[in-house]
Amino acid sequence: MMQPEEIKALLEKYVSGGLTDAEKAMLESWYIKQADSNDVPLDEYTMQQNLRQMTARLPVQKSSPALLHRLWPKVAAAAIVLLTGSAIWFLTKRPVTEKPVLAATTAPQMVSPGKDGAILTLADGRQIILDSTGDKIIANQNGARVLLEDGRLVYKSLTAGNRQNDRSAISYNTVATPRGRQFQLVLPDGTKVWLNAASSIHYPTAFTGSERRVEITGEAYFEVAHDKSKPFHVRSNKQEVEVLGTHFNIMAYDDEPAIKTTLLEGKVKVHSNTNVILEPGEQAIVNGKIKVALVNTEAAVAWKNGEFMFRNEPLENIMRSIARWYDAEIIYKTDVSKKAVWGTVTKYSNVSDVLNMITLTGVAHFRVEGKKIIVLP
Amino acid sequence: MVTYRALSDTELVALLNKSDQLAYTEIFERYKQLLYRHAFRILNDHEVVNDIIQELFLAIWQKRETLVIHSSLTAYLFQSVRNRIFDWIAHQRVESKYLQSIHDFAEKAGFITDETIRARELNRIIEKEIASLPPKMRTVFDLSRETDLTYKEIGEQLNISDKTVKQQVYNAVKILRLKINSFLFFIHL
Repeated sequence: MMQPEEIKALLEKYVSGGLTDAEKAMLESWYIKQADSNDVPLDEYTMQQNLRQMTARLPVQKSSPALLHRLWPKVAAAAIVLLTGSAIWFLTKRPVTEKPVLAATTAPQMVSPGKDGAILTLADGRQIILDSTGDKIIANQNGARVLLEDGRLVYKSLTAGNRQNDRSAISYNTVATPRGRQFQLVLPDGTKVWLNAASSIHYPTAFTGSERRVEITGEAYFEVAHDKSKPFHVRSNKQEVEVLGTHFNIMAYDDEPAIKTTLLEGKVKVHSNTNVILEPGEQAIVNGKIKVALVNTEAAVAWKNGEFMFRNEPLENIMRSIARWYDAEIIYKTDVSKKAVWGTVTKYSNVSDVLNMITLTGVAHFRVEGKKIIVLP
Repeated sequence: MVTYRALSDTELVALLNKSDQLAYTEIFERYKQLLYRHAFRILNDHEVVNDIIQELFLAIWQKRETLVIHSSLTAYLFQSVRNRIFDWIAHQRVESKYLQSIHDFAEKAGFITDETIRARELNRIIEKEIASLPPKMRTVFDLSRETDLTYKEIGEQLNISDKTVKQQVYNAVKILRLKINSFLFFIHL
């Protein structure tokens, strides 16, 4: 007779394969019987609560401003405010009971969210604006065709095989995003790069030679194409990351106190004065010396998935991200040094939505004046 | 301004492949309750069901660019839920009530040995769930799932001649497509 251990083995094989017809029949028949049962009634309220929480944790488009406004007047207590609505924001301390102040109800919305777009600077100095609409061929350079495909910059080699020894053919391009824009490109070796706002990447049009080297400023997320024969190096400020084939994020903005490299998959070596090797889930914080921390990798790359995700993030850091994405200027009228916020919201909402969510946690209030965001107590 | 609610499942998947966040949102909105209820009937545990459904949708977003769905989106989603439920149970301790339940079931006779019949049976259960959706949700769901026409086109068609006649024709077509769909539903695993 089938023991629970054997059943565990069968279940594992259900997905990976290797079950007999009889075994499959047994599992699926059980499943059908369960699916048709009504033994435990479903508590609708709990389900709705869970679905709302799920909405906040997924990269879905959260509620529109109109819907949000309607919800607030009905709210009586802070607990309900935090549970309803599409984004759940918490403070490390107690939740707040006051109603949030809508930042820009009367003034027209000047600060709109970022979009996709970038500027490509070719080796000869020509600059091309890359709008995310329309597929087109941008240029032909040294055996590579540069295309704009589905809003991404893609390099396709026109010649078969690698021109290993043709060093004279190497030319460099730079793709830069202004504030308020992010962009995605595919490098000549197939490596995918996501550039956040106010960032740039400098790279050759073909990876000849024994190494692949690129340079970035700002923030970029990489999914490096495997090539054991050519290690991939990323240089930023005073740090260099050496990669074999992997997924990682580098945040190296000038106005941030440290360079943060977060590894999701694979292995990287981070050089800066000293070295450190990162395992998935770890983050190297470089600021003179190197520190390694275990982090929520989801939060580190949330920007590329269209979200702001903050896990006990100091408010100042949050305001810098907001400033870059919405191309706004932050003016502080209060000390925010001890304030931290925890929450998730889509990047594609209006800045007033994002600011209102932060206000709900009680850390600060905001006033938006044109392109300025004023932080008030 | 496109109403994503009016798009068919096929159109939504095509948009999802292009990282369209609104299409992803619509897919989530359309299926979240259905999948939740279905998983709950099997597991009877809100916390576990919540995790499974959330992980499923997270994974869908993560592989949005490479996602290819040969069957219908409905089939794909329910199949994924089933796989994830089996996988979750597989990782529970041997004392787990779910393993006990399967054990008890395995002791008795009465499996549905014919694969086609199992597929149809599961399909019937899912259709029952859909039928119990609130009316508005169900209309959008049915129309966009059974046919590849947009709601607008269907509406136009239904308005062309006598509504009752058209409705009957539409119903007949719907039932026919349902039968065809259910045959293909779970065969190709």
